[in-house]
Amino acid sequence: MYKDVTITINGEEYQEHIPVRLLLVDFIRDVAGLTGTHVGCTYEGVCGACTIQIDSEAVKSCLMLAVQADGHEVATVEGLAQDGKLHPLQEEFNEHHALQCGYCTPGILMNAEEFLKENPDPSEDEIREALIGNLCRCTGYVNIVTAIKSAAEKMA
Amino acid sequence: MTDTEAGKGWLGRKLKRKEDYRLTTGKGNFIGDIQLPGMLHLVFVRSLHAHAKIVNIDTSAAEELKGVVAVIAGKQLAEEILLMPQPIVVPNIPANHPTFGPLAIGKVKFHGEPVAAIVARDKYVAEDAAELVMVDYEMLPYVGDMEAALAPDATRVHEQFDDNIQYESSLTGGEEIADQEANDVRVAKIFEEADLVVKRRYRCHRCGVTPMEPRGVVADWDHAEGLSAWITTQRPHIDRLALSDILSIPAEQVRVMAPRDQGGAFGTKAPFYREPILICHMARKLGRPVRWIESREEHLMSISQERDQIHDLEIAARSDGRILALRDRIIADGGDGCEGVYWGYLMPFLGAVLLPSGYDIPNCDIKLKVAFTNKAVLSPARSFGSYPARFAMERAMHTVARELGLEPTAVQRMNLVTEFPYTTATGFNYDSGNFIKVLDNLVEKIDLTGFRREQEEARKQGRYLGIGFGLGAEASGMASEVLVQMENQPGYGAAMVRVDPRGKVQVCDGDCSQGQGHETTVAQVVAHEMGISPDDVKHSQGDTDNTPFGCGTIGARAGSYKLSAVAQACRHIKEKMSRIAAHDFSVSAKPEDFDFIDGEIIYRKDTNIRTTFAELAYRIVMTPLDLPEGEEAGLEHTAYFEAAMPMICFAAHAAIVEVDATTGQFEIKRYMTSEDMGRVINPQIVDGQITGGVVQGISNCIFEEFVYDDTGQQLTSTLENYKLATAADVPHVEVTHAPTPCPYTPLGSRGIGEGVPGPVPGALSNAVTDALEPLGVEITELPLRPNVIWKLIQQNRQAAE
Amino acid sequence: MHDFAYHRPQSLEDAANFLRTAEDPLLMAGGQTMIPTLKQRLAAPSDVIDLAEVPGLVMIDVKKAQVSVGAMLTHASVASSPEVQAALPALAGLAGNIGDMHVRNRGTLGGSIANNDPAADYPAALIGLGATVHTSKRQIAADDFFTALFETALAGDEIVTSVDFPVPELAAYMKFDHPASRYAVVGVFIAKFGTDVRAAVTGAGPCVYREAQMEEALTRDFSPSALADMTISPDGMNTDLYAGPEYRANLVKIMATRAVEAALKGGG
Repeated sequence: MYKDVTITINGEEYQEHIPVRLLLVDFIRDVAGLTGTHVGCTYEGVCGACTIQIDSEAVKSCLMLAVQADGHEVATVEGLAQDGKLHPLQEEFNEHHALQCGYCTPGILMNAEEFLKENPDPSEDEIREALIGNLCRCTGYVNIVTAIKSAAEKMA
Repeated sequence: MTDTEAGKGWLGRKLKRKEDYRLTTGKGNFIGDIQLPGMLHLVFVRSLHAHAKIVNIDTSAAEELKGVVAVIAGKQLAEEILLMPQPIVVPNIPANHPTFGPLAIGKVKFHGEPVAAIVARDKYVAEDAAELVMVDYEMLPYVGDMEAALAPDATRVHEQFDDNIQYESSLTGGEEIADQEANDVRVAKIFEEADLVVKRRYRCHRCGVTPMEPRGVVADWDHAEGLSAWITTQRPHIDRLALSDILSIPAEQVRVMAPRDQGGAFGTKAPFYREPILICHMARKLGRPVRWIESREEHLMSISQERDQIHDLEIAARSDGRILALRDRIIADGGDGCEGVYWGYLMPFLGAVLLPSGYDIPNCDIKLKVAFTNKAVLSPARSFGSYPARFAMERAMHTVARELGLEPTAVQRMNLVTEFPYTTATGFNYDSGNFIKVLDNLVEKIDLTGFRREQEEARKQGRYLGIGFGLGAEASGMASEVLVQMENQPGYGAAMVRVDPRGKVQVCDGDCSQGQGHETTVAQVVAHEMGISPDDVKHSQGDTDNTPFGCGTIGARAGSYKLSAVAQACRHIKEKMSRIAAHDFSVSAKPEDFDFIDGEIIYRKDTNIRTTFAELAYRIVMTPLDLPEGEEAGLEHTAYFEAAMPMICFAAHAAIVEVDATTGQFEIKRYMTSEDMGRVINPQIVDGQITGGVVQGISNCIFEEFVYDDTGQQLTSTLENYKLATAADVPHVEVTHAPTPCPYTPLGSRGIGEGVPGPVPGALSNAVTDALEPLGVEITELPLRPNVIWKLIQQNRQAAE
Repeated sequence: MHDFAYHRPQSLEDAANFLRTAEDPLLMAGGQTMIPTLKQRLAAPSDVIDLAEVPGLVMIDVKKAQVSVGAMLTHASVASSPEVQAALPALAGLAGNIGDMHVRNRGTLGGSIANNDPAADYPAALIGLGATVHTSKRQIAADDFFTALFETALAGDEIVTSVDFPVPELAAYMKFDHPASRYAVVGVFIAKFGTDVRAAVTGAGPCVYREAQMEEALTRDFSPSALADMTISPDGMNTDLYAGPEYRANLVKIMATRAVEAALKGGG
């Protein structure tokens, strides 16, 4: 089965004729060609590497059909830097070595961006709790927590 | 400024990583991001059973589905390609290496073994087709228990062998049987006469270090050029040779590329696996690009399973805590053993070799047996083989101390190796270090004395606080003297350094980073050696067409071997530049008379005589006129670094926990490490390796476990039930340093990272045991699950009543 | 994932019509459990009916004695609602501890209770508070709603529209998290209405249930010590990697005790 959809990603509109079973993450990666959003688990939606924002809320794009996003606004990691200027989260992730392989990083950035809007001055425990939907296998989380805290301070 | 200080600013500096811009902006280039025109998608049909005869495979319905290009099963494939084992991926160690192909032939040997494959234009359609493949199985008895599997009358996993013993040997007493027997008698006598003998069975569960990015392959075939394959791999050069052999393609027609970015590996991407063979073969057969991206379920069913060992370990000690002898009978569950390079048994083999860790125990009797079972083959995971060994050893050291009424760190300290170089009873060489300094640093910084006071107070209030220590002497890369035997490949580090006419430096090597930040540390080393900016250095790796042979990004070898080769190549080029500078300036100078600082080359005896690095590079590369006699044009050198001595790095970890006796849950209140990584190139990167490795170790120790039921069904093939630690599950890891520079590397550096999880299970399980000492609970098995700890508390309470 | 038809009805009636006419329909109310099920090919619906745009299901109405929550309200919305936090902090806290942030941004009350996972959190709140479920056809008391493992009283063409939660005097929910899924290994919801006490247990058995002896003991004496000598039978309790029946029985008591302590401190 196919359906026509209009999905806006990072402000750009995509009008496409797609299979209804196409996952949103596959739409983003294969149809729109935005490969910064990653797939780390397959069925379960546990790892969070595919985290994007839909209407400014962080969600796992492997737990949504693309047709569900019809008429909605999607934001991915590619849209985080504005006018060539990195977002403070991107800057602080670099500054504090909050990534190693970088596979989970886009998902964490998209989650953290929403989180800091809701909680601009989080404690370490609150940051750690907010990250439970995003697995990282390289860093041990220490520097991720530091970077998010530091970005919060920079954005204050 | 003297020569030795020149440009030193780039080493030991927290230089921000060059890799991060692309990785934080979504511009990484991972295997899943590679698109070729007309690319097809391959999906595997995997076995639903652990051990069964394949009676029939009906692929007709799958073939008829629109969009399906090809369907293939094991028998047909066996007529088209050679089978494993191929000599290039077989260790020089006597063991049973089973015959196997990418798809099962005749029978399946574990739940999840590939039996057929679909190639289709669309991955959703490929999955539809996979469901239409009908396989008739005839069930065979499941061989699941490693001890039962070793019995002479056990059902055989591989009919080609007489039994299920894949590997069996004595790691101590020398090569000859008679010598080994004499050794064992001598050790037995020490046990008979010792003040104290501690004997326990320690069991480490099956778990590993699954990376966030599963595996994948993109293969393309061109009749003139041959095979081009992008593979998630830690060793592209070995993959190239192995693919050449098994697919009978001349080696010059095989090009293997590790994608520029890989989403972690930790050992899981080091073997030569069965899947890439099939993807490459299908690309050739169909003449079209084929891609396979592993699902998480496939990944958790077939790879990253490690650590499955039982240790019947005994320690003989003197009443003051000095260890007199160590005896261990180790069994490992190697699964079906089908995997190039490692074959399931190399991990337990190395674990047994490294069992004595940093302790000076000359009298050892260590024997290992590895069993074939109907499970996925053991595949490497960081702290390769030694995680279970460290658990057993550190638990036993703690127990010896407590039986003697001593502080565990006192017993650990008393038995540490103090004189180097040192050879263990298992024949492993340690180059240098200061183990006591590392442990003392930790004991002081965690404030053991203060903690004991706090613990005493807490116990009065009915709270269960505990502290535990775990140590580990880990290989810092492996020299050829180890790797040629163990993995049939060299151990040197290799790097090609080229200075271009603009004075920019390009470095190429045959390894491949999966997050270790090689682009940054290589640039720092070049900047340090050449006196230029790291921004002027470009590093690329992983393409077998244009890099020197590299044995791979394995076993913590970047800091020790690869960066040493980079430094060595830089020094070679610097000498040439100095010779030509001396010639051009008509001064009689030795190479060391020139300083390379801040982009300039300065004659030390007369600092008015100077030129820029870029000018001299241009002069040598672009105007090769009037060169000194015998001097070649160009500025390029490939260096091979082989260590004079196998290097190690030593670490000590401490954990402080509080156990809730009502639920068995425990909180890690503090976790601290003390490290000797020699001279540090980039402190942020090495500390990141440590915090990451510790959390992997914690996650393995508490959460992760691959579980097979009584029929061999694997119950933990999603991250919903194979649990990885989240940020909220783990503490802030504190990293401290007690370095001793390595005298055997040009920069004094030691490679670190591979062995980091090793000391964790000892530290954590000793801490829980220490906390529950008033209740008499002693941990001998992993994982440390709350329900298990709660049960131990109940049992001890009942026993006490 | 098998192929299917996708519908996004604009009214409750249209949604119910699809349920009646489609061959093998499945309602989507967020999809956080459903999409993984589809991806694993464990379900193969002919039609997926997405409730995302049915009007009236995204509502919240807080009165002094009752909190009403629309079926399509997300866990994140319930957790972050200042009105719910003030009126019924135990419910806000429960919603705020379901899964992770991403799941809470999509998962809904209606989806959770219609699925009736034995380890889900919301069923404990419905039973613990004696809630009333409103559907496209009728009202159902929570005690009658959850019938068995993954089974509810809902008819094939019936759609949950909202749930009314009575506001208790004291209440709290405590759960022992499944380490991976964050579902409840055991979760206990305790609520005190005047002299009445309700104690709902999720995660321990095949379906959420009320623990009668606990309710009696707490009715007599609403304090942690009232549970101290209680024995919880492990018979019929669930077993998995993380907990066998005996351990779950122990956790029922521990979580209940902690819930009473928390309720006395003001809930959460």
